[in-house]
Amino acid sequence: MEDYKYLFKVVLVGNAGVGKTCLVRKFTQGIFPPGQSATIGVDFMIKTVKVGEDKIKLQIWDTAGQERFRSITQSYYRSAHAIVLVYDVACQPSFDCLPEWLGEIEQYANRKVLKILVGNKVDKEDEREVPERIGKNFADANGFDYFLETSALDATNVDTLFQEVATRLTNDMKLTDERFHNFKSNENRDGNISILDRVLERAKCANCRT
Amino acid sequence: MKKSPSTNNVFDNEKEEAEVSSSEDIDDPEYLELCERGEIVDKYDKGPDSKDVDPWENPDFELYKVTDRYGFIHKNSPPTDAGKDAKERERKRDQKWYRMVLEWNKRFPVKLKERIWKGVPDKLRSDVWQRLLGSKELKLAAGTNTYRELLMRAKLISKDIKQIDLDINRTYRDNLAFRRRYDVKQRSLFNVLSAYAMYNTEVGYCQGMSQIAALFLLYMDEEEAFWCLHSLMVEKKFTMHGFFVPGFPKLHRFQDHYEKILQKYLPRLKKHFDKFGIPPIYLTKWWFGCFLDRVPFSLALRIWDIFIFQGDSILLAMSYNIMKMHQKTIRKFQMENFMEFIQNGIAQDFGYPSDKVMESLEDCLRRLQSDKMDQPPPPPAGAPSEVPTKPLGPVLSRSMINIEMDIAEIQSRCSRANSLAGTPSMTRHQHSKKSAARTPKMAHSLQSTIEHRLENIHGRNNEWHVNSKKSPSTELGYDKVLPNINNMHIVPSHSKKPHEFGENFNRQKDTTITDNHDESQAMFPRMQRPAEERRSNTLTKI
Repeated sequence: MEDYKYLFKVVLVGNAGVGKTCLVRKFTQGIFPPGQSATIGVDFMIKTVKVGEDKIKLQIWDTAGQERFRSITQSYYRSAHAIVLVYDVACQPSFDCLPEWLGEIEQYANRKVLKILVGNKVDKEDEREVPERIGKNFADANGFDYFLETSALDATNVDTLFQEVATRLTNDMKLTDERFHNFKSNENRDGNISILDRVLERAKCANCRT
Repeated sequence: MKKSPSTNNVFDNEKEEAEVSSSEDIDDPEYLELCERGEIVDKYDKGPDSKDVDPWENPDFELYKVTDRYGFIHKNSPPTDAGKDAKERERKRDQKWYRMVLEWNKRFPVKLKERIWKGVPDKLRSDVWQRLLGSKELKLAAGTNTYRELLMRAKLISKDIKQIDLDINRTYRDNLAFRRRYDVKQRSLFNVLSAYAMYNTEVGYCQGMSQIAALFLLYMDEEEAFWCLHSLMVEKKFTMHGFFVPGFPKLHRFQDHYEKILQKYLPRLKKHFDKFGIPPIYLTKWWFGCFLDRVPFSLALRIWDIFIFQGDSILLAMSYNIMKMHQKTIRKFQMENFMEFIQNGIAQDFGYPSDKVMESLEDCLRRLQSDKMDQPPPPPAGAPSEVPTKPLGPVLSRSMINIEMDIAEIQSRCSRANSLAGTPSMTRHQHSKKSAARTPKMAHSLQSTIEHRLENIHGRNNEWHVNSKKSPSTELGYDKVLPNINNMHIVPSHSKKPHEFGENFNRQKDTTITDNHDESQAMFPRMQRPAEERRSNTLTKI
């Protein structure tokens, strides 16, 4: 089997034309294909990155941005470890739609999902309509874990973005693993594993409800 | 569609931003939309010499030397399955087809089906596809002016223009026909899609349609492409309407049936998919464009030939066929290799010659047909409709005058806001970068919107542009609501790029505005003078 420590699912969402596919292409293949045809439904791409000594595999789900495709893309939110919400810094309406996208994320994604806000196309500095601090403020005010401005065209922050996603998810996962192992060793001393399962189950349900 | 330009809640922490939006009343959504539409339409009308083309919008294909027979540009020689005698065979086939098409006028050719499986000659695709789609009949039935009338209205009020524009910028840009931004075929594509969105309002514009329309446009003119697109949407054997309409009812119905086909004919493969949790996400792209982009273009054309003859059962049969032909390879794949194979692998090189694929497809179809599996069960009662339920082209019942008046109303609303904003205190207001960037664009596009209205709709010359007394608006009796439109006309047409206006605009903030009479003033008369004074001032410039 392939050697990787963790596999994470990352879902990219955001208005049509903000550059989701280009970000993914730049990251996975190192190319910026102008005239990349619109994503219909959901596309899938993969890339392995390194976090410390660990190989981390990122499964990237690239979704169609047009509003009517949301009914299809929603079903991919639930299993996502991270959701990258992208807007175009040179397109105010794509920023104005963020509350709608947040609503979608709250409704369909896991509560503990890593939320990243990305302002793409910073190469278009002359046409910028959304100042960086406004993006940053929005991210802070709305519980995003991370905010970043990128350009798929000139590669600004593209690797950083996905590296950061991988690092944060890995750290979270290691923490969970540690807790799990501590817990498990305690449980083992008592010789009762089924309690562990039940507790974990309960914790999960509690998360779902809140 | 819900779109709120600049929602104030976004700017909760940004007092300054919020103040700008509310005090200027510039965020009138209808007005913004009007301007945006005008701006986009204007770019297509100006064509490829438009100065508004971003450098990246015209991709540099210097590295890509080889053009195939369909106009696609490749880095290396494209894969071809033409053998030694291919040219000679093709020539003979062309002759047979020419004879057959001539016969077709009298009676339906017996050999048509058999020959279509072997591929329609490229020279005859336009004719044969249109015959099979019955697009000319659809056009006659709807009235020959329908397309033109739709297009005129679409340019003024379509809500889908922004999305269409976005997608044209990324439809077949690797083909010579669509390579140059705003060039002939891009303009046709823009027209077909905008007009269609006004015709079939339940579908409007959905991503994926641009690929289909572009395919037709490689073979025919825009009006023909329009009616072919419509045929695909509504004719019973295709009803692509059900795929594109929000909710995608037909996609779900076909997907369920596809799973049954896999289960019945390729159970080991189905098990493999289930085991590795491979979802059929590839179907949307396959079916919305009938395999365009997901198999080599030359093969896609062969599939389209038979699709147009046979109808939507080809979508299921071809999906089954791909899985069947590649099942051994696919069973070695997990999720990621599988998706790479489906999204890129077979699109680059299908792995079998087209003739072989078509033979196998014919087998698959025959098999499905004999088991009555070539069509899914019909939609259950009460399910969302897969065919249009509303009348087509409702906008056609609105007169152009009516539409113009609505536009004038929106503009006058804004001009009122402008004169309010024209108080001295407002001129000294420190505008944010955002509004500075937007305002010139709007003025620019407003002007072009109005120009269209006059040139395209009234079909008159420009003589009245400088004479506000004889303007059509006065004749039509709604001069009162168009106080600043005449004013706008006088501004030199396309003398400056929007961003140049932006620079002027920014500079303007630092000067004594009332003394400034340069051209940028004409673009922003609202900043300092009442409407009447504004008009006299700009008129004297002419």
